[in-house]
Order: sequence, then structure tokens, then C-alpha cells
Amino acid sequence: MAKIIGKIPFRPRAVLFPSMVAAIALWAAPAQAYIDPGSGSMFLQLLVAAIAGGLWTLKAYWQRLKVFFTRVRPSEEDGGEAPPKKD
Amino acid sequence: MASSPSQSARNLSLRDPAGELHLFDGRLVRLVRDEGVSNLDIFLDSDALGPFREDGELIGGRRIDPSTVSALCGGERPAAAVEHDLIPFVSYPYEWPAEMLLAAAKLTLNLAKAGIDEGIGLKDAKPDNVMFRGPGPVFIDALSFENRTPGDPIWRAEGQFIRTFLLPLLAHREAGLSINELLLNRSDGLEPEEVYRLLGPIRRLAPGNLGLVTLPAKLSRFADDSGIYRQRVLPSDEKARYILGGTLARLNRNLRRVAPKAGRSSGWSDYMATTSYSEADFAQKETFVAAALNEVKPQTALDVGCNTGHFSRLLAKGGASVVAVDLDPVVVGEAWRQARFESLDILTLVQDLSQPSPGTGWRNQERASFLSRAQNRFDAVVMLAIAHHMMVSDGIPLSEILALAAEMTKDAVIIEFVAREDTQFQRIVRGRDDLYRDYDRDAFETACRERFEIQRRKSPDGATRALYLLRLKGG
Repeated sequence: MAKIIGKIPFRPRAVLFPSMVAAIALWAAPAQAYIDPGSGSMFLQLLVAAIAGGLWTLKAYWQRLKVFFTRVRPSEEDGGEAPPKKD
Repeated sequence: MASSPSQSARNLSLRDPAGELHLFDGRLVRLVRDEGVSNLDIFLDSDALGPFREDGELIGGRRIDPSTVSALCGGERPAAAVEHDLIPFVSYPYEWPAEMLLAAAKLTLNLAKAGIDEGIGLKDAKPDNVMFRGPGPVFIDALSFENRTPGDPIWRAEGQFIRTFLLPLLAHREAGLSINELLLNRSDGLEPEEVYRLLGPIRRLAPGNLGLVTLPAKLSRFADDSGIYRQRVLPSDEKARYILGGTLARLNRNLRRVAPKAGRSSGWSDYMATTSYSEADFAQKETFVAAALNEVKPQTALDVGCNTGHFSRLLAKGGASVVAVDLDPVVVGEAWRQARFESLDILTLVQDLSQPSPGTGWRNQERASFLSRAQNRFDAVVMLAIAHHMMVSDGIPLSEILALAAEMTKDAVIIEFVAREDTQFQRIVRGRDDLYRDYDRDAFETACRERFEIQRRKSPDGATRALYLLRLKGG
């Protein structure tokens, strides 16, 4: 369990791209007259920033989870090893 | 006239409220107002920019005593002043092939990225902030760096970066739009809505286009009046830096997607392979040019009609600082790749000498015309297999072409005569032979002698081409 979780890489793009596709699927209405040309780029940056911010938070929890599991595992192994003896 | 106070006091950076830039007695001096002092400190002293200073990718600058230059701003003493290194030959984004616009974009992104961890932000991201020294980009706007508000996760210059770098490159790659024509009239680039209309329904959904064009075009109607430009500050600056880094990485991926393809073809890209020269003729031409260079030893040279830059490289390897121009952006892009690869001192520009870049911007004075920059500027002007094109395709009389060459050179012109019997000449004349009935070698030489002395000539009997080394009379 610990090894599997430890090996899964964290890939923000795997989440970002499907979110974009979902967004276009939701808003595929015909283009209308716009008020502030280019404001869409800013809006998109905010959206992506919000998603990325969420990912950062998730990543922080993920790190904690990894640390939790990797701490438990070595302590189990330690039990099998004989402590160095002094003569 | 040139030294009248109004002329020398002209502010070269008039849109920047934080400072002024003046060319004064051959010195480039930036006067900085109170609000620009912290920006200047970052530019001059920040460690994050150190590698760029060392590589010459950030224009050099030294602090000078502001009181010594106060005359430039009407006696008012600026808060700070800096003297910059001069760029040998100034060029503008609408004179670059796509490859150079891409190089300028990469430098801009790298600078933005380099400052993040030190709390430095880049507040502008437009091609005008970059010029080229040889083939290498140089960031010239010293006051573009600012102290970032800790916790602010938004790169406010992203929209400008997309409009002025990514969308022109994307429109060029996807729809074949000419970057040079586009940026000449639109220094603020393209809006996503404009590019959206250029793309077909399927191309609109391709990964790069979706994020740069389609989504922004669709989202702009949700974005009005919703306070999107309000500054947002997160409690954790680490989180803000993570988000900023992601934004820059995304732009970098987009940049790779819109990069011009190498090995594109155009009307001129196969010229070197398909020209009517035999290998022996070409070797003779090289020998002549090498001998002429040896005689003139030019420090600066202009190669007109450079094509993929074969002779520009010969000039640069001979020690000249070269400006190489051609009207075809594809061959100029190829010449730039080679010069960059071999680190040769060649500035490659897209320029049609029969219609050179005009003065542009506010009062036509923000960016100087090509000819005003080229005037009396070069030790040698090289015009190989180009004069007949200007005569026949553009209808410019030979005497005018030679007059222009005489205005741009301080000393020598290396020029090739192509007779009307030549196959290349016949190809472009399209049945208008009558117009050139009197155009032969004697007429050519007579026209040359009006302004030049013919110092060296190579005109084998029976050949339809001849090479000349001309020197300005009284030079």
C-alpha cells in the first residue's frame, strides 16, 4: 500500500486539461458581442489559478499522506533488524 | 538640425510614466522618476537577473549622477539616472522573422520565471521590450521589473504576452498570416476573438488553440464587470508562487506549440538549390566577394537580399558586424537559425528595400524608419543578384538603386550585374523585354560611375553576370 501510493506521481496537467474540455463543452454557445476584448484570457487565468490553487492544497495533503505511510513502513522493517551489538 | 535641443531631448520611451530615455551625444541615458527607483534597483542589482546580465540578455547599465543630465528633462533633477549600452543596430518586432519573435518570447518568459522566488515580477511582456544584438535577444526595458506583492498568484502581463507574442505566432502557424504585416500596424498584437474567427471548427479545439483562443473568446462575455482585474492576495506566498510557476509553464508549453516549423518552404527558400549558377560560377562569386572584403575590410556591412545568409556568413566570418535583409520571412528565419547556431554577428531582418519600414508609433517617431537607421551606416553594402529584381519586379530605376546604396554606405558597394539574357532575368521580366532594351553591361557601368569608382570587376566573356567592387567617389 505504502509503496504504491509513494510511486504515484502528482500530475496537475492530468486534471487541468479535462477541466478545460469540460468548460468548452459547457459553454459551446455561439460567440456574442463582447464588451472587453481579451478579458477572457484574464478570466481563464483566474479559473486555472483557482484550480491550481486547489491542486496545491491537495498536493500538500498528498505529501502528508505519503509521509505518514512511509514513516509507518520503515518502522515495521526496523523490527526485523538486529540492533548493533557492542562487544 | 540634428543637435537642436528639441531633437536631442526627444524621449524615446514616452509611454513609460516612471522614466524617460534619451540619446544624447551618442550616449543612451535613462532618467528615472521617484516611482521608478525601486524598479531600477531590481534591474541593476537583483541576483536573480545575474545570469541574464552575464549572458548579455539584459541590456547593460551603469548608475550616473542624476545632476549631470538634469538638462535633458528641463532642469528638473531626476531621482536616478542610468547610462545604457548601445544596441549596435536598432530593430523592431515587425522586422523580425517568426523565429526571432519566438526567441524574444522565450527570453521574456525566462525573465519572468527567474524572479518568482526572489519576489520579483515582470510587469510588461511585449516584443518592444526586446531588441537583438547580432542573432541574440536583449531585454532593454530596465523599468519593467517590480517587487511582486507577496501572495499575488496572478501574472498581470499574461494577456499582453498572449496578444503580442503567442497569438501572432499562432495566427502565422495556423492561418499563414504574416507576422511582419500584422505587427507593423498592430503593436498591441491580436485579441483571441480575432484569431477565433480565423480558425476552423476543428482547429478551435486543438489543445493549444483551446486555451489561447477558444476558451478566452467564449469566456469574455462572462468576464465583463466581474472585477477580474482586482488584485487577489493569498495567505500563502508559497501557494501563489506555485500557481505563478504553473501559469508560466503553461505559457511555455503554448510557445512550443506555436513555434514556426523548421524547413518551411516559400518562393525563395529553394533559391540556393535552384539558381542558374553552376558550382564553378558560385565558387568564382565567393572568391570575388572574399577578395573584395580583403580589400575593404568592412567593420559593418549590409547584405541586401541575403536569402538564407550564405554571403552574410562570409562577411561575418571576415570580421564584419552584419545586418542581413530579405523580403521573405522564411529565408530570413533560416538565416537567423544559422547565425544563432554558429554565433555569428549577423542581425537578420525582414525588409523589402523597395518599401522599407516606415517610422511608426506616436507621431511616427517612436520607432525610426529603416532608412533613417541605415543612412551612412555601413562600410560595405552588398547587393548580390538583387538589383535586377528591384528593377524588374518593383520598377525602380537602376540610378535610384545605386543612389540608395550610396546613401547607406560610407565606402564600398559590392554589386552583381545580371544581363537581360540571363535565365533568371528572363524568368521575372515576363515579356516586358522592351523596357530593358538598353540595359547592358556598358549602361550598368555608366550608371555606377555617376557616384562610384569601379575598383574591381569580374566579367568573364560570354557570361550573363558580372561582379563589381565600387568605392564612393571622394571617399
